Amino acid sequence: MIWLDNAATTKPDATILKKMGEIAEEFFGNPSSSHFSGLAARRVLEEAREKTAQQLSVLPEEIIFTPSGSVANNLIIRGVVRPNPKSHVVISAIEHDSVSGPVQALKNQGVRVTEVQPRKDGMIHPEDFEAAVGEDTTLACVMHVNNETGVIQPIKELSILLKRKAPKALFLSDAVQSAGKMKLTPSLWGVDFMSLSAHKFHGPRGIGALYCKKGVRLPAVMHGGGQEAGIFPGTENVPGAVGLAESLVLCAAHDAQKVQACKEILREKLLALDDTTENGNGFPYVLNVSFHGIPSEILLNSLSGKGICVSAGSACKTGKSSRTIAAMGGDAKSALRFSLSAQTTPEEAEIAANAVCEIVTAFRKGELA
Amino acid sequence: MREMILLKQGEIVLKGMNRRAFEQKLEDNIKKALVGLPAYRMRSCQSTVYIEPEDGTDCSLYIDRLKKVFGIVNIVRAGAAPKDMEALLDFAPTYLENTLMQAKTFKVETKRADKKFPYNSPQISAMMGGKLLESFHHLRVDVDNPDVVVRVEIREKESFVHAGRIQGAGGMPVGTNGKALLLLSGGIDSPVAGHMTARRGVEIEAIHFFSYPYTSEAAKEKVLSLAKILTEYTGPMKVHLIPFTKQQLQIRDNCPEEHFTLIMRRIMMKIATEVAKRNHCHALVTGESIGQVASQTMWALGVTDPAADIPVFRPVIGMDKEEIITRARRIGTFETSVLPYEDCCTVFTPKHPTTRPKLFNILHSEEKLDVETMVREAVEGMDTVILGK
Repeated sequence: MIWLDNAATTKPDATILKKMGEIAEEFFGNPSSSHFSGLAARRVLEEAREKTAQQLSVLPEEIIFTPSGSVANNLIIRGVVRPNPKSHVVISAIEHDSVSGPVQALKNQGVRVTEVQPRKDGMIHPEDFEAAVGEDTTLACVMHVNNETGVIQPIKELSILLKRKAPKALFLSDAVQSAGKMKLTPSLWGVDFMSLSAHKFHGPRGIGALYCKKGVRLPAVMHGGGQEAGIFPGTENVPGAVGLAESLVLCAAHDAQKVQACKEILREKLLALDDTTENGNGFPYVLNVSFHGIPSEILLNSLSGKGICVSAGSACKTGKSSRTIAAMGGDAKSALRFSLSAQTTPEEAEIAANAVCEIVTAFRKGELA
Repeated sequence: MREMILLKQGEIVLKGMNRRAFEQKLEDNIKKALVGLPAYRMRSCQSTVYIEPEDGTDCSLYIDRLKKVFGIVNIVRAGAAPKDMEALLDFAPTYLENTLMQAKTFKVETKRADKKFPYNSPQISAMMGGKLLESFHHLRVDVDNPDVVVRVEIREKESFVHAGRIQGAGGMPVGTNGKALLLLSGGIDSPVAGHMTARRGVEIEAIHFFSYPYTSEAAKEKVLSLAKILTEYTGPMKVHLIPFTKQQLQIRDNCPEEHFTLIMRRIMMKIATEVAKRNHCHALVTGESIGQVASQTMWALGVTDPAADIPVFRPVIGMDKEEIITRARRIGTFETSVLPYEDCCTVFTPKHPTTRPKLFNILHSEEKLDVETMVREAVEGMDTVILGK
């Protein structure tokens, strides 16, 4: 199998899984208990939080563990925005459903929402963003790296613009795609919230985290035993938190240059084909190409038959063509996303590229069977 | 307090000498439908099947599945009481309390199968009515338009009290009317056609054509999920999966574009006929409805129909899309049918298909194909799975 669907999920690291198993067995105590077993579990959990914070250059108390990136995004948006017409949310048109979904739900409850379209290069341009922000804006959401195109958004610039025009406004950047793949520095960018998910960087499923800047109030949406600063109550997932922290550490050692080299192999071969367009560029881990005239699903099925896993748009929206690429004015119906990881080898990139070329040529000749 | 389920048989009752065979089949199907549920007792007499859950398990668990068994017209939840008037009058108000508290008016109907019972039907109704009025002061009798009809049945061994019946699936027990092969596409219509045919007691096998890589594994999975839903009604079902890409490419490369869909459907019919014969199916079933798409006009059907030399049933032929959707929702296939995966019919669809084809012209276009080999190769590549076991 050649796994080029790392933006959907990554293969979990075996050492980390093993360590998580050991922790689950040894530190099964409830971190809220006062006895030695509970205290030991609490210590392991807080160590994981510290490690995570260190990787993101933030304070441990700014990290809240959640079951996924989607939960993190929902908790932030639902917590910050009051469901009435006084609230105003600015959101990019290319957000993940876990951001655009809750914002749409708030819109139905009367919240004013302004959507910012990307330009042809897939970027949210500062002047477009600035025009969307008002003095009364409550929250702005722009993802760090787009899940379908890999385009990196100018988060720092956007957050400065936001704070200048609407000093009280808060900024959420969904960093699910970039976490573990590039250095994240939310405190330098000036964002108030950030979300990430461990399974996107060789960690386990079922654990994510949200960053909430110190001093920013995030009202609780869920209520329970007050765990995770009261923002995500429920007995803590200690092995999961350790898995997230360890995989962040592991990924920090990865060499993006090597990934970029693999991407170039794919990129060169695919773009050498007739009638192909690259949708966005800039991120070593994602290559998105439209093969005009070929429905993405057919290419995807053929590659799947050869043991090569890729996605058409986002894996979360099977069967629908990409909103992001359509918003960029691209050919969404024939777009295919190849997403790499540090585990991708040049040989794999080569095999995949050749397979794509073969299929595309056969299809265009009418011989694909 | 004992509660049981009474299943009233429909048309079977009208059968003559072979009635017992129909009843036996129904009992078998009921047993299959209830597999995995807590233990129960089943017996059958006087065109009624009695199911009594053991250890007081709630009847609703069983009723949900029994609602999908063909051959049952009505399902009744009844309280069982000894055949003694005193006991019956004692039992009824407690058993019916929940139902009667929500009603304003009622009437009592009695059926006395055991004529040796000391009171006749009108007497029993009167006594029961009096007792219920005494127990529930808010109730009034209304014989014309009551909220609730309380029924008392005096049977051979015991008596029953119940209020309200649930409509069963109707039709005849699956397996009493031969076997047919359903062309299952993954759309809305074919599962409904299969359901309607099975309702007439016909055992169903399904055949599906897929065009990898033009259609995905996920599309195949979708068809299997649809078939799985149908097995709740039909019992275990064989699904034959036919790889069809090569044949489609041959048609595309050798025949006029506007005839593509018709010739493809003719070839499908031929393959299906072959599979049907090998599996002892006596007919084909399709979800075609007149005029719904270009390949389902009167003229198009006239072209595809002769491709099969066994009967082709089209139960939804006269139904509007809306009616089909309503049925699909009711049987529970709609949500799966509308999942967004291509089916093999839509991949090579011509831009301007012929809507009034003549058989002569189509046969002429078809001459360029080696139909026999196409059919043979398709059947050789077939993969069969059994669902709902």
